[in-house]
Amino acid sequence: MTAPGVQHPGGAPLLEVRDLGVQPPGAAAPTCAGVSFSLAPGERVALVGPSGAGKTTLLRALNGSLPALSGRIALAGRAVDPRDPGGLRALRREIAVIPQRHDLVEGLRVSHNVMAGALGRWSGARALRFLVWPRHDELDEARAALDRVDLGHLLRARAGTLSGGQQQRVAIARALVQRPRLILADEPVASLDPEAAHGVLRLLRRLAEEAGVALICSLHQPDLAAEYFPRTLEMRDGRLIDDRTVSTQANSGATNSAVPGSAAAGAPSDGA
Amino acid sequence: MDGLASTLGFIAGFFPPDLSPAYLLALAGPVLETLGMTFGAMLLASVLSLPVGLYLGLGGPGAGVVRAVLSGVRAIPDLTLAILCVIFFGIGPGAGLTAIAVFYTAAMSKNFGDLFATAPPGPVAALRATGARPVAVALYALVPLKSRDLLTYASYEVECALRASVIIGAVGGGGLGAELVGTLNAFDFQRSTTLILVLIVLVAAIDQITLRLRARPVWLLALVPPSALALWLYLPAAPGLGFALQTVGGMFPPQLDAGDWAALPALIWETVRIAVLGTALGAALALPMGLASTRGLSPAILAVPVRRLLEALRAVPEVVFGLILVATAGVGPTAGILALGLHSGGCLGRLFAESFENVRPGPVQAVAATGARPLTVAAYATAPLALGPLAVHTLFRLEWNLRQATVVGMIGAGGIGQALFQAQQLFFYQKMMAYLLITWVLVLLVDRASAWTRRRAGWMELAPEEMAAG
Amino acid sequence: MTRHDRYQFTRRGFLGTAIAAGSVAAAGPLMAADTPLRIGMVPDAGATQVSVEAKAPLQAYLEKALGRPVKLIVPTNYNATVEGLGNGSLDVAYLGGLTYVKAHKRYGAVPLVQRKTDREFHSLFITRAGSGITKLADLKGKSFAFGDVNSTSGHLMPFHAMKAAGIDPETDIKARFTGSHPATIKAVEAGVVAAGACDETVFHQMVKDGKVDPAKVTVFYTTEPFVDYVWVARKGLDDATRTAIVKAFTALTPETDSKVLDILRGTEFVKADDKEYDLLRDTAKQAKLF
Repeated sequence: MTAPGVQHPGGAPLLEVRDLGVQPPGAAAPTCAGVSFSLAPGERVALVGPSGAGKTTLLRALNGSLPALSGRIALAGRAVDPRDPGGLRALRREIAVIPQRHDLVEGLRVSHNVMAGALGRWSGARALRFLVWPRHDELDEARAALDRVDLGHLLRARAGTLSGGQQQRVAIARALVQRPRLILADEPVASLDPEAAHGVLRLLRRLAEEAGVALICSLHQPDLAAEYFPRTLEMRDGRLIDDRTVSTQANSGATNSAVPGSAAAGAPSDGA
Repeated sequence: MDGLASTLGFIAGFFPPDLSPAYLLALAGPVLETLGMTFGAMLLASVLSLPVGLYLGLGGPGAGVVRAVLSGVRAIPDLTLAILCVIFFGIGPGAGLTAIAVFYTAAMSKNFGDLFATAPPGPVAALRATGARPVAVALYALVPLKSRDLLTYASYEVECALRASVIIGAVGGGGLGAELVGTLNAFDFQRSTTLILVLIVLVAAIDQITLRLRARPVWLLALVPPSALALWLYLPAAPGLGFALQTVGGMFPPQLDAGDWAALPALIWETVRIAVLGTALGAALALPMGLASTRGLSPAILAVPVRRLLEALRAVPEVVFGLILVATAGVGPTAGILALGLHSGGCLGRLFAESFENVRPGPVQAVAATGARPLTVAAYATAPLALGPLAVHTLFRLEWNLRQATVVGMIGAGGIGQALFQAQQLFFYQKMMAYLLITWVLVLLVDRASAWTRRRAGWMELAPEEMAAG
Repeated sequence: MTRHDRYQFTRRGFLGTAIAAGSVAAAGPLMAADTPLRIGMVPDAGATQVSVEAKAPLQAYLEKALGRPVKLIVPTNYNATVEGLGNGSLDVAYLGGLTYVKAHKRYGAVPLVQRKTDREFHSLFITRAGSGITKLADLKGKSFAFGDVNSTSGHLMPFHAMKAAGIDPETDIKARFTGSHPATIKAVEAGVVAAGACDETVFHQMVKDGKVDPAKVTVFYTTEPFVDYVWVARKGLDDATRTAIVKAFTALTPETDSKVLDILRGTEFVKADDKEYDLLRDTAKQAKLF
């Protein structure tokens, strides 16, 4: 069976997930099971589903924060495996995460929070030096990233003094500084008002398109998914139950619901 | 001193420790004496402070005055108290036991009172509404409601009292402390090391025992008979009291001559300097060690040995470090700063590690998700997030160290402590009392300032071990 | 301090006393012959179990001569010994000249006996061989070890000698108190301090016992003679006991009691008198130590 809903414009997929099962520590049962899909470079995908469907578990597994119970994840052909910390760190540089709650370090300045995105490629010594003695070119890079989210003027502010929407944009700027090939955004608009939510999603779409970065964005609201993403994955009870690609020209959904794994594991949507 | 070579020579002189069976066997006496002093005093202190604590917790008439008196007693450095007791009761564990009992009765009464005051008001009010007498309220509501907190706190106090009894031994209170001073003065450093190891093992053992007792508090009762026996053996006979009153009378009015007044600011400045630099050194040591021992941040292969090292640094009181440093490196504030720094490093290291473990996980994960190295994650997320708690712990340690700076001063580190000790040694008791009062006011002022700062900054409550002032 | 003094003035002490009284049935010629006589020694370098055990021959000799048990208590400082005479935890104490005059003034301590050498005692200024210190004036700016702050030969007289030589011990040297003579000698030998002052008999005894190398530690100045150590009784101690103690010490001879005399670092004991200490009192007042 071929991976569903995949266009491979450039040949090899960027992300490949095969029969993935994940059981977070403390959970009684896997909260993500039999998930398979793949993602082309630069592709934008919305991940939808009700609370507890396993969206966050899936995203955390994708960047190696949670170990896979079964199956495999590969980014550009390299396995994502938490048991190999060195290899995982290298992979994580390629994957930027925009967390659900704007998880900024409040005691630090915005510039430090933004440049935290560069920590994966900086040496430890440089990272420590930047904390106390930032160079001009480094600050310019931070300002450039902030300008792209329209917050250039807040470079020197303390992160704790920012509003929720501003903090979310700083988190996005941090992701840009990371120069990733894939951005994972976990409910980036969950705690924002509708106007700010549209702003953030527009921004994410624009930035992903400009930089050619692939984006997986989990969302609560199907209408937002349909508006900003050409492809939507839907989860329920830990399983992928739908994968549809929307033709943006026709603005109508072509649904492909044949999801591998769901057949093997029985009816996925009986809400047990 | 010939600098580094001489220092290294001295360190080498402490190894290997004298672990010969003959010596270890000979230490049974001092060990029993130290344990007896500690447990006898703590039994007495517990029995006395529970009713006083309840009285304070229930806010009986004059509770404010009682609290002020207790704070006052607590602000007297323990070593000074021990010296007074040696004057009153003579050399030996009796003096040490009395000093510990007085100090810890004051400390525990006050903190028991504070703990009772934080009891949930609902059940207490309900019981009061039935017209129950205060004693009934205490027995049926306060004690059961707060028993776990009381036990946790008291068990930390026992650990502190054990260290205190060693310190007190150094000025004539008997036990391990006297042995330690003896070996250091005789340059018998290998035996000093043995004694320090014995102390570390004792503190670790008490720690383990109290940890288990907290789970099964009934077993605490098993400690009562041996403690009572120790109390009976060591409690000084009453005749000391008349003499004590007469001697105290001879300490009044406190008096300093013109030259002493002129030198006073420099003495206070030196003591403050020892406290501030000692705390700074402690915090500087604690930061990397705290990070290295933080669960979830540091690998076990690093965290476990660092945790052991922190335990060892905590087990050795400032005064013991001070005695060693004064004996080997000579007198002066440097010895005091190092002594405070080493012990503070151990205490703060553990508290820092706990603070790091308790930070919000979200931002840490967010930074880790960029592929940053563990050290970088610590610098960019864990450390800045824990800054508030770190500051509270450090501030409290500074307050504590001001008191300890006086105490290490007494053993030769300089400052007002040294002036106090010298006046006492030379029988200039009016002068000694003047220095004691000045120290006491200083400590009270810093206590107040620190409590005020904490309240204003809205910083959290102290950890039980900080309440236990160790 | 040691397991010996754990027995004194504690309840168990009284209990033990009662049992002893029943079994021994008061054999000696003295009053209260069954209660231990508590003797405070001078602060010693190794105020540990081992050091007390090294004094066992002295204890045995006194027990035999006095016909009652004797407890030797080694304090960590002189102050505690003097206060022990006041608070009744000591019956007899071995004091230096300065502490004697203090104990006499405060608590009416009665002088009993002293070594003949104590009447013409000297302090030694010592330094490490090759330190370049050859006279008192060389001490300027150097680190220096005194013994106990209350010590006559370890503090008062060296202090006096330095003043006379134009050195102000409070400003011209970096002074510290080691607490005892052996500690001072060890500190000089180890190079912790540039020089120090100590009791001549302690120094010679340590050289004799091989505890200090005279090639490493040299004497560069000896003070004028002064009166020093004395055995004293607390004010209330009965006459019979006092007499017995004087007799016990004056009866010591090198022929039969060399072990005891070695511990006491002396050869001959004589009766002591308060008048001998008048000059010392003046010196102590000048030095603001009395």
